[in-house]
This record gives sequence, C-alpha cells and structure tokens, in this order.
Amino acid sequence: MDSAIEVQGLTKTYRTGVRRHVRTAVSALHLDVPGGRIVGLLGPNGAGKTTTLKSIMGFVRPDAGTIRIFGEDARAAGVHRRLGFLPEQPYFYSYLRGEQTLGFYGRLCGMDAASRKTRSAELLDLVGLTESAQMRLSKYSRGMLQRLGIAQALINDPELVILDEPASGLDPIGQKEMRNVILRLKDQGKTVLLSSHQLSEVEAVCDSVSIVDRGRVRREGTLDELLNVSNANSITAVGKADGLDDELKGIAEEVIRTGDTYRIAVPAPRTYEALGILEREGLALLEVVPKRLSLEEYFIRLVEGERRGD
Amino acid sequence: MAIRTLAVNVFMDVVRKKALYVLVLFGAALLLAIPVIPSFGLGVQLDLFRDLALGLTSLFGVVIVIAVGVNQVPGEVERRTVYNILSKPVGRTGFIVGKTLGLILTMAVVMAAMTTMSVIGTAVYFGRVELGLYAAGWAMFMEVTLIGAFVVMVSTVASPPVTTMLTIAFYFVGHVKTALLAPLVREGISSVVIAAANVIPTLENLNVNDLAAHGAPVPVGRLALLTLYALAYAAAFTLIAIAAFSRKDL
Repeated sequence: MDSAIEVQGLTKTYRTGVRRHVRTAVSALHLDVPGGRIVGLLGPNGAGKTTTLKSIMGFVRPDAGTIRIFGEDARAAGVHRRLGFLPEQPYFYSYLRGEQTLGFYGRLCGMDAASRKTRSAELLDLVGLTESAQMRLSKYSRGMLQRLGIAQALINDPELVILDEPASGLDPIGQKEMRNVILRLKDQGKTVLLSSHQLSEVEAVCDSVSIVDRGRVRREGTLDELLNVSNANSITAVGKADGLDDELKGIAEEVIRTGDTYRIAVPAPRTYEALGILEREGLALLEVVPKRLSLEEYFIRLVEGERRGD
Repeated sequence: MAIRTLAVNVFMDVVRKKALYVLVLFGAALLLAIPVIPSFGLGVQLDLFRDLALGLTSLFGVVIVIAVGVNQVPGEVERRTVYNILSKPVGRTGFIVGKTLGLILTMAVVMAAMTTMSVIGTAVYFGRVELGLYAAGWAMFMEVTLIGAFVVMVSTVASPPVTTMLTIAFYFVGHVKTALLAPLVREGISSVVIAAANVIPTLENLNVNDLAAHGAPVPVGRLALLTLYALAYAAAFTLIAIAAFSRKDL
C-alpha cells in the first residue's frame, strides 16, 4: 500500500525565552501513514505531535528531514489541493455566517459557485449544522465551531485529512458523530491522520497508532500488535467466592473484582488451572479471551516506562 | 481566485468594521474648513481650498493605510485563522499578495472617495468642477500603495506598534530625504551612500499637490513615471514580505 505521508528524520528545534534556550521539539522522527488507513498520533503534552503536524502542513520549517505527501515534496505547490486540515480548536472570522465560511474556504480551493453551494450544503448536513448555516459564527458554541472546522477541512473533498484533536469541545453525542464521520472517510478510501488525547476515540477508529514522546516515535503498529499481551489470557467470571484471591495467588497475574464480576489475567499455560479453581468455587464463566490492554493502559505504561528510563 | 478572495476579504473586513466612516470625518473636516479660509480673492481662496483638501486627503490616506495594514498579517497569525487559509492551496506567496492587494483595493476606494468629495466641494462652494484634483488623487493613491506594501512587509516580522512607528519614520524620511541629503551631496558624499539611501524611496517624487493646488495640470508623463516608481518599490517590498513570511514559523 502506497504511503500517503512519509516523514523521514524530521528534526525541529525552537529557541525560547530571553536567553534563547534551544528546545528540541522533534528529533529524527520517522512516520509513515499508509494510504486509505486511519492512523492515530498519540503522545503526552509536549511530545512533539503538534510540531509534527505543523511540519507536515508547512506551518513550520523543519531543521532537517524530509516530508512527502503522496510521493511529492510536502512543500510542492498544489499538494494542498489533495489534503484537508482541522487545526486544534479552529478559529474563524466571527462576522461570517456558517455557509459563508464554507464558501470562503471553497473559493480558496478554487471551487466554482455551484460546487461550493452543493458541497457546503452536504457538509453542513453531515456535521449537523444545516439549521445554523445562516447564523453568524460569533453566536456559535465551541462545539459548533468544531463541527464547522471538520466541514471546512472536507470542503475540497481531499484524499488526505489531518485532524488535530477532532473531538475537542464536543459532547458525547458529538464525539460519536465525529467518529462516524471519520469512519465514513475511510469507507470512501481517504486517509486520515488524527492526533488526539482521547484514547477511547483513537481506539474506536484507528487502524494503527504512532506514539510520540520527547520528540520521537516510541512505538507504532496496529492496535492488535500493540495491545494484545502475548501468551496471556483474560478470564471473566461472575459469582460469589470469598477467598478467591488466595486461591489464585501464584497463578493469576492480576485479579480485578467489580461487584460479583471477576476479571482475571493468567499466563496462557495456566489458564486451565485457573478455570478449574473458578469452577470449584462455583463461579459462572462468561468469557476467556487473549489478554488485551486498553490503549490507555498501554499508553500510560509506555510513557511512564520512558520516564523511568526502562 | 484565492488571491482575489483574500483581497476582497480584506476590503469587506474594513467595511464591516466601519473603518470607512472615517471618510465622514474627512468630509466634515472639509466642510468646517470653508469658513476658516481667509476672504481673499476667489482665485486665492480656491487655491487655499484645494491645498487644504489635498493635504487632508494625504494625511487621512496615510493614517488609514497604516491603521488597516498594520494588522493584516499579525492579526491572522495571532487569531490562528491563518492555519485554515494556509491549509488550502493558497501558499504563503498567495497569502501575502492577497493581503497587499486587498489593502491597495481598500485604499483605492478611500482615495477615490476623498478626492471626489474634494471635487464636489470645489463645485459647490466655488462653482468649478476641478477634475485636475483626480491627478493629484492618483499620485496620492500611488503613495499610499507604496506605503501599504511597506506596512505589510514590516508587519511580517514586527509587532503592530513597531510597524506603526517604523512606517511613520519611513514616511517622514521619505519626504525629507532630499533635503537631508542635499548638503552631503554638495560635499561630495560617496555614491555608495547615495545608493544606500535610495533603499528608502523619495516620497516627494510622488507629490504633485503643489501643481494641483494651483490648478496647474499635471503632465501625463510625470504621472506615468511616478506610477512606475511607486509600483516598483511596492513590488520590491512585497517580494521581501513574501521571503520573510515564507521563513516564519507559525
């Protein structure tokens, strides 16, 4: 599969403060976004995610490295015809109305009047802003501005969409709708690179993730590759069994009890042994599956491990 | 289309902010000037009115071009609206050219309006339609075009207050440069220094108010030359602005 974005050796430093201290935001970062996939870019605050996105978009000049979009230099004229961008907490001209705003960006993309009108109506419907199309943006809520932001990112029907914190400011229903929009983009064969702190959102839509910390990609891969814990199973059972912890001591890696529900992590070779204990204690077995971390658990373990120098 | 869209957006923003209401102030100033002009002979009074009108037009023009131009680039960067624009196939060159052309478009409307009000003033109070004032109006429009390009250039690297101060200094030096250099030229200053001094345009080259104030026609050749002069400097400033903005981290 051809890459939509290839970043090789990206390095960017900033000089900050009165004494112009050098701060390295990104150091020899490599990132590959395959075409037609949804890739998540994760990292703690200050990891270099925004600098990476800004470098891809040409908003900052890297000190070193190459960035190619669909095989072309990212700085080439015309590359931006094929991509759309949603900045974090987008800002617009508050005196424009919703439909006018999309018309403005449509004109910047070289769209004719008929195309702008049709596309604006489609996108306003997609993001649930049809009824607010004639309202001035100064009256829009933060969530409405976020929705308009995704609409303007899609105005030119781009092949590649880059989203920086797409769920920012959205209520749970809005977040679900945003996820549906992103998944629809994938169904249309588009490529999406999204940066987000909402790990549940990333886990729900992304095919793969790249985790950035202190300016470098620390881990990358599909969610199955990263989150499935090899050679371990997770058993879920329900019932009342005092003393189960003692019974499983030495066998289980972890026992989490929520009310009458037990979630037990065991090494694969000792799974049957654990199942035997649960049966003896009279618990009802609900499921046995390969142990899988949540993205949040994996992310926290990775970042904290990096901090400790593991 | 992108450059035109950005240029029109600049003008519409000025209209929306009601900045053009300053033209009302200009008109009021002209009206108030009539009783102030001493009662000499009609010809002298007319000369004085033309001089006053052209002086006010020049002053208002410079103030407006600085006020409108100083925040065109920094404002977009600070408000972060620049990201949405530059994410589209516009490019940093298109952005700067669009902003500069928008400022020029705005000043064209402003200068045309003020000159027209002056012509109407002469017609109403002196019974004469002084179309010659449009030649001076064109020269002043060329001056504010050059100044506008300078404002945009400086604003790509400096804050609005610094840009304002530098532009005022630029305007002042541009008008007194010849007088400042004259004694040095007589003493035989090196041509290198003179060449360096020409980095700042001689704004007096664009001044035809003395001719127009006395009702004398402005030669077409002179208008053409000053137009080329102003546009050459404006183009140079715009190229520098593009180069500076292209290197800027946003």
